[in-house]
Amino acid sequence: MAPLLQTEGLTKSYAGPVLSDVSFELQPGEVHALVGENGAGKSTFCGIVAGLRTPDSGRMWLQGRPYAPANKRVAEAHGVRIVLQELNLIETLSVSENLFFDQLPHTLGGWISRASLREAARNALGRVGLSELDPDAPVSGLGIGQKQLVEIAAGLARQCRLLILDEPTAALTPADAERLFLQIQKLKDAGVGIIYISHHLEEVLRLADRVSVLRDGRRVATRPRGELTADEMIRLMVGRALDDTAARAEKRSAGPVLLEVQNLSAPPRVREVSFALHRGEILGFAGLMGAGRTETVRALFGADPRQTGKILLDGRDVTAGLHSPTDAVRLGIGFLTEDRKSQGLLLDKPVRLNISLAQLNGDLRGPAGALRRQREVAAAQTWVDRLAIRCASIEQIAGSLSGGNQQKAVLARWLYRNCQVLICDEPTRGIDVGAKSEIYRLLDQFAREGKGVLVVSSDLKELLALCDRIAVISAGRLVETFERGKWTEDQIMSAAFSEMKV
Amino acid sequence: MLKGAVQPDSPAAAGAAKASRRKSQAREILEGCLGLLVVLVILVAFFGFSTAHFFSLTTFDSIANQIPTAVLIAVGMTYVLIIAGIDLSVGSVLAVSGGVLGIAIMRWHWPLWAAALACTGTGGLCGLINGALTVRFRLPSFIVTLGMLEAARGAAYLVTNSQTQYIGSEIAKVNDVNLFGLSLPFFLAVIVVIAGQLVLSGTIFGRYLIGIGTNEEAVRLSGIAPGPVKVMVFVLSGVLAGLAAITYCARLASVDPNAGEGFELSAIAAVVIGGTSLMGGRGSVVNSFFGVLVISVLENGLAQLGAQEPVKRLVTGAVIIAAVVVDFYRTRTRAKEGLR
Ligand SMILES: Nc1ncnc2c1ncn2[C@@H]1O[C@H](COP(=O)(O)OP(=O)(O)OP(=O)(O)O)[C@@H](O)[C@H]1O
Ligand SMILES: [Mg+2]
Repeated sequence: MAPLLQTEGLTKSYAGPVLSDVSFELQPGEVHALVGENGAGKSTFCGIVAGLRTPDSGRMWLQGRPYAPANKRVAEAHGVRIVLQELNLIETLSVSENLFFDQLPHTLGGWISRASLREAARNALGRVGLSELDPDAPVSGLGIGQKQLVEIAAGLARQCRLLILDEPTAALTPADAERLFLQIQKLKDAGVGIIYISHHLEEVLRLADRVSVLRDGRRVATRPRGELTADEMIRLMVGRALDDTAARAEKRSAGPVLLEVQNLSAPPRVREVSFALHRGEILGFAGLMGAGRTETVRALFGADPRQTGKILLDGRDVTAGLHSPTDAVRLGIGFLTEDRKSQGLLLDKPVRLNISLAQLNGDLRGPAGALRRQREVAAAQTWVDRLAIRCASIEQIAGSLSGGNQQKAVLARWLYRNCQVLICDEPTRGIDVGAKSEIYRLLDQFAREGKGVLVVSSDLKELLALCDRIAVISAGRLVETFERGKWTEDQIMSAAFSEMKV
Repeated sequence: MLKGAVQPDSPAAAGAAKASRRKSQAREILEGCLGLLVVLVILVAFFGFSTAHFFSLTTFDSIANQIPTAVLIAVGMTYVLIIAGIDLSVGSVLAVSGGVLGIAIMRWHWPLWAAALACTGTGGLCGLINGALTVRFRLPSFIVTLGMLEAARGAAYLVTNSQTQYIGSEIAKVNDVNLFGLSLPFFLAVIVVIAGQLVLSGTIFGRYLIGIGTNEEAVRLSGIAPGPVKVMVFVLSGVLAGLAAITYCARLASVDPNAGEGFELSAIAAVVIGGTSLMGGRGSVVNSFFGVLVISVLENGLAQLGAQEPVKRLVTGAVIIAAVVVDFYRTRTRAKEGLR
């Protein structure tokens, strides 16, 4: 039987080569995982298969017939669909309109038939566990995990024979990821072929029938699942073994209280949250999707209005002077947002501008409001090197970086800003294993300098690896705080469910 | 290892880096306006060969006299467009500011400098209202400035008693200062263009504008308050409309309640010809200057060809659209290369 998809010699270059001579094969009903470092060319490859980009050279066959989609529509007509790595929802439209944007059910006169749209949306949402979500709610009110689920639901709702999932679980909690895996299994049984990209290697090992590894745009290996371990995969990805002993070398010792939050409320999502962050400490916020973790840190940062709450920095009451992000940054608080595309990046601007943004009114302000250009260039270069951001130069526009490298660029902005308290919301979304441990190391070092880090993450493993304490937020309340060494995953999970209405 | 600020390098190296940096910045600006210069040269050559008197002091004079008003307004408009706003009120603001200038000189017998100050102040006040309403109530600047377009025009009628009035020789003095046949307003416009470009590409404020026009929320969450910056931009646009009013009144030695009608649109046209994006985040003051020149050369040349109003407008319209199309393709190829 002819494979569902076959590619031969796919090559693509921009400023430099991005894909070189990639041959690839996918059988019907197969999950074929694609792994590789940030910028290895995974998204580019999938973009070519899905008709988003055209290769410089190389050929493709779909079920034995030559296949060269000119655009996304043509690919979709062939039954090839992609769920993109970056969010592409239209913020002003409702969930249901976003789900079926390209095929809204309508009457003869062109009127949208709301009832059937809502019905279809409920179905689609149910499959990803969002049956609670109102299909008429605007997308702009959703958190990043929910948005990602809506994107996935849109992909799953369509008939297709080849589905590409580009890092679908990057912002999902374990429970939501499980639900996705169930759907993937169903599609498999129905004979749909799936290309699955992820930086969560344990996921890959569970799901994939075969794994292909990309390194610097070349396919360096393809193995059936049984013949591959996570370590082996990493070695193939980076070309050497990774030592992650640095990840958590020795215990950090917590100093005096740096940030204290009392009774923080921002209805409806944040209710009477109190906690303290010590110098030299990394504190994690765990919880289910929509529990109010992001809302809590946003209210703390002044990005959203607070109703009540007292905020103390180094024991000094700063509540009255903290009403906007500007105030927060002036007080030494930094905030890495969860959605890099809409809240973080200047997408069509060079990497340099993205890294320097938060320092414009700090380190880069020269006499008479002049911009210290030279210092900006030096700093951008330093951080690009330090975080190993893969770009042609600091003048490459941020939107053309790979997803993981975009994430590194926004992280660089805050590390460069040099705050006392760094709030990180999903700091490693879309970042590869190697870079992840490098970022853990940087955050660890940041804390060791006597500053404080607050991490919100849907990846519990990340919190377990990184944090000294983990606070669990459930339905807007901080229900319990666990100390390192005295926690178990089960305890944390059950705390996360504790405030949920049954 | 994690240090906040990057230490400055050795002074010598820093000096060299600075020099090369400045050179590359200059080159950037030059490359940016190269296309426009080519268009200008072609236009000038075309009109030079197809009309009898295009290469004459009169043409040069009339262009040099006409453009200061348009240039001043275009500089403000460039800033406004860069922050993804729009200012439709500049023409009316020019009229009301000019009206105040007239009253101050004729009725109150203020000295010229004080009257000029009142005039720019009026423009700045209108801009402040535009900016404050836009920011405070999160209104689209299109709507706010559309309202101001009407309201300021009404105010202009009030202060001028709905009549064109001769101000007298006092104001015409402004034009008397001459250097190589170029008047004071011309130099004022050139200085404003240079300053405007320097602020845009060399200061924190300029960078804020670019950031706000690209992703305002990202800028806000990076600890920069966009509100005051935006208000400032509208104030600047108003002040420049006020300055433009002085040059306008000086040229005609009178105030006119209908002054500046349609200036907002020709300013937008010039700025867009200069490659500034209506979507915000990108623009150049120098290029807006050349945009004004292109329009002015086109109008003068067509007039000398004997073209009537309908043809003039058809051609100008076509040029505006052509400029935007060319710019679209240029930025798209550059985006494909992953560079600006
Ligand atoms: N339009 C473009 N212009 C220039 N370079 C580009 C462009 N698009 C992609 N690239 C480069 O191609 C390389 C591969 O990008 P790609 O998005 O395929 O990586 P990826 O494997 O998906 O990485 P990640 O895990 O971070 O998502 C990157 O280094 C990126 O900078
Ligand atoms: Mg990718």
